[in-house]
Amino acid sequence: MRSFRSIGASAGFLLVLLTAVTSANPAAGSAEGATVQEGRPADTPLSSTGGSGSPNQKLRSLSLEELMEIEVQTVVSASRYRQKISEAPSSVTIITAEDIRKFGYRTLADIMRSVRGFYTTYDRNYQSVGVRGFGRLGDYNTRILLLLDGHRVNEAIYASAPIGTEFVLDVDLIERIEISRGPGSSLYGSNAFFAVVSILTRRAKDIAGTELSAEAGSHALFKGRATYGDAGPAGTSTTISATGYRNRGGNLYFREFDPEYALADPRATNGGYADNGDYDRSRSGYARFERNGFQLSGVYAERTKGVPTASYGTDFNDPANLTRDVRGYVDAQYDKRVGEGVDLSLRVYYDEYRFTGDYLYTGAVYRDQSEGMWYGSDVRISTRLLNIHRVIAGVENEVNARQDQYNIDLDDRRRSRSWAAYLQDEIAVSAALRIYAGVRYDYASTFGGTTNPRLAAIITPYEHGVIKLLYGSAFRAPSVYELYYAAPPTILSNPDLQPEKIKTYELVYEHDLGKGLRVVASRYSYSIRNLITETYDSLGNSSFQNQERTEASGTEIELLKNWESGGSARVSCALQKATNPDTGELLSNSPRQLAKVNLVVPLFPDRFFAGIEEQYTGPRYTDTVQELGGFAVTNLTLLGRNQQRTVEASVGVDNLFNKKYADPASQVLLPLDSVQQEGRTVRAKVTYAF
Amino acid sequence: MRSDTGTVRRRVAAAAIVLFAAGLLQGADAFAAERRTSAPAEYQVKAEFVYNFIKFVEWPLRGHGGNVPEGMIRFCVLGELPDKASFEALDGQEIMGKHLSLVFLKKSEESRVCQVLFLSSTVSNSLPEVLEVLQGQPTLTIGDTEGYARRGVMINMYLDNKRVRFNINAETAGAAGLRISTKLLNLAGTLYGVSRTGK
Repeated sequence: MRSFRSIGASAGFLLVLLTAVTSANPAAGSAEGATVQEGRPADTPLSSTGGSGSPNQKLRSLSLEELMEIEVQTVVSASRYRQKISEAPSSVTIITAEDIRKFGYRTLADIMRSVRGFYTTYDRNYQSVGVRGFGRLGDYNTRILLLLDGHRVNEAIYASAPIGTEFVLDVDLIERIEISRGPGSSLYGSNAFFAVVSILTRRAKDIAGTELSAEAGSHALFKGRATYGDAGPAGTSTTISATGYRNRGGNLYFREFDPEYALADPRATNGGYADNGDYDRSRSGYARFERNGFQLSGVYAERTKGVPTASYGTDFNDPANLTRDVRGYVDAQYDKRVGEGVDLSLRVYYDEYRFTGDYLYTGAVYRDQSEGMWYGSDVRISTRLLNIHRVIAGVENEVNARQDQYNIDLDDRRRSRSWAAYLQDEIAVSAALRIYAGVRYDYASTFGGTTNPRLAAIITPYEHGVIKLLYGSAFRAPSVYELYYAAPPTILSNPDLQPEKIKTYELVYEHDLGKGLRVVASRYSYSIRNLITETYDSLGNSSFQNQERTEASGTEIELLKNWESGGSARVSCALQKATNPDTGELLSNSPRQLAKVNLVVPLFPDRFFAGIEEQYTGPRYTDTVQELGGFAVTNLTLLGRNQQRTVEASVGVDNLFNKKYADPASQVLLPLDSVQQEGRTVRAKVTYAF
Repeated sequence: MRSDTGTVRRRVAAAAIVLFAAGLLQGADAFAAERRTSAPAEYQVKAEFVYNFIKFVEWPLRGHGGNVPEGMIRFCVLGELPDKASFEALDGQEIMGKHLSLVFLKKSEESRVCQVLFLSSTVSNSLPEVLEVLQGQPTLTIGDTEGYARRGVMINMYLDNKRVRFNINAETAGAAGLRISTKLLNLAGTLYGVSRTGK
């Protein structure tokens, strides 16, 4: 705690210093902070909203390359589009900062739950995302790749992607999220198995000043955020932000731990209530500095979560059961145009991750710890050849200096290294046909090498339609945890694990019906082999083995509509069937149906909005082959802001109709095979910018 | 506890301090200038793009049947614009020793006299007819509507993360006898058609 405060203190001190320097400098155009607005020099007319009869001299002096870097204030127009969606070699969903505000999203899990074909599972410790009918219980999101401003967020011990309150960034700092479905290993390597989730942060230009935000909600939830952003000339900008969050959590009831219940667990006590066990506390800090193509960013986050479920056979109703995740990194990137149409991008980074798990057995703490430290560099070059090829080539190199795991029985210290090289060619064969061909080779000292290709054809047979034919393979490297974690004699390591592999075929059809209405349909099938599965030998000892297979296919349909009034609708339906071909059985935690509705209704133009969400998840099986019923959850958020957008207030209700439903749970929670989810909760939030 | 989480904190705190020290070294004016200035309007920037496009396009010596006076580039706009004023600001501007003359067209048939024609999203439904009228004419067509480049408009602007980008249909530009400079082709997001003029 002490050093966290020291970050806060030093950041605060620097802020004060910055402000002092700023207001003392005559170049600021005005000595008094209060008159900065009116005192703006006459030669900076960038803020005018329309043509004033004379061209903007500031803009006129810029080259095309510089113009391309300018952010514009957009007008509402149905014609606006982002090329990436319609022409990307995958089926993409974009979530923007406005979506996050209007639907009151607080975590990435909230966001992913709203996305076509995605669903989440919460065991009161970690949020897990399921994609296309695949959501292994007890998995830590190792089959999606999470990128934050291009930096890999999945850590180097469990390869987990944090999507709950342990995510490294306050979601209020997100500008846009691009969720690309399908295999991405041909560009991104391991973990880009089902999807690549690329998060871009808000730029200093958008913040331009200080933002303070406060939020309160059910279960004594409090969140506070302070953000400062400043963009100067010559592409210089600075952003700094800090967030604190705490949620006391409710006193949760578990029938299996109620002594009154006939089949109660031997650990049952306290009438089945886990008092004060569901607490959640996190802090995070973020900083970014940019100048002339050079970007330096740093991220730090820590979260402590109470585990109220008595998982791993621990004592019930002891709030000292907890997990703590600490993650931080520093990333430096440099982008430069080195020749006609040739762009070079360099990146170096240093990452850390620490995990502590406190498990109480008859009052004594058993502590699991792991510690990862890694650094690496990437070089990427993109160039255009003969006007019809766009080639991207790159190499990556990573050193895992520490991948250590320990507890009272284990002291496993590891180092490993990996490198990769990739090449992708985008060929504009004709106006109606574009081909993407890519391949990447990954080498890791833990398992050896793997090659993953991707092939895509983007066809535009008529004016308003796009057809995408996609094929790709992807892999997930065995994590250090799966390879080496052991607690002899019952839990054994398996250093011979190989990567899991997936092959995916997909057909996507997109049609623009005009007037802001778009329809997307997708049909896919995939097969996974060498799934890393926890198995038990004849003596009852467990280890991870490359064992199971999965075959799946599915259909997704989505309608998107934007109204000129600022309203929007996103409606989707996903049907899928994922089975284990060796048993013919449906996978656990694999709903056959998912449906989502996301509506933004402007109640007063530009000022007051209602965000309505409806999410249906079909029946799912637990690992104990019990069927959990399907359910529909409704969330409502009301958001209002003033004309200048300096004050924004919102009130939200999650699970508006207090629907009772449960998510399947992994076997480590036995005797629980499912976990009851949150009922109706309320939250209110105010953000002030100045 | 062997590994105190404080170590991570200290390292990241140190990194944060380095970061902001670097920020301070940039000079205070970087922080002070243009505080709270909002971004320029979309069509102001798009107008500047149009201005720049014209600089990087070469028209054939013959064409327009002598309908355009010497020293003048006729810049026409067909369809409704969300922000007319930003384009109006281009009227009379000088480019490579010539003056831009802005004309808002009412009928697509009038477009044959234009060297530059901006087609707004409202003409989307009649786009094939408009392009038919221009067949063989050295008219640079520009738009900002999804699918326009694919459908034959030579330069089509779009927004990517609030920044203006553009696609080029080199095939139709080549067919019209226009030479688009390699520089512009290189900056394009997507090139449609194999260019016979660019390289």
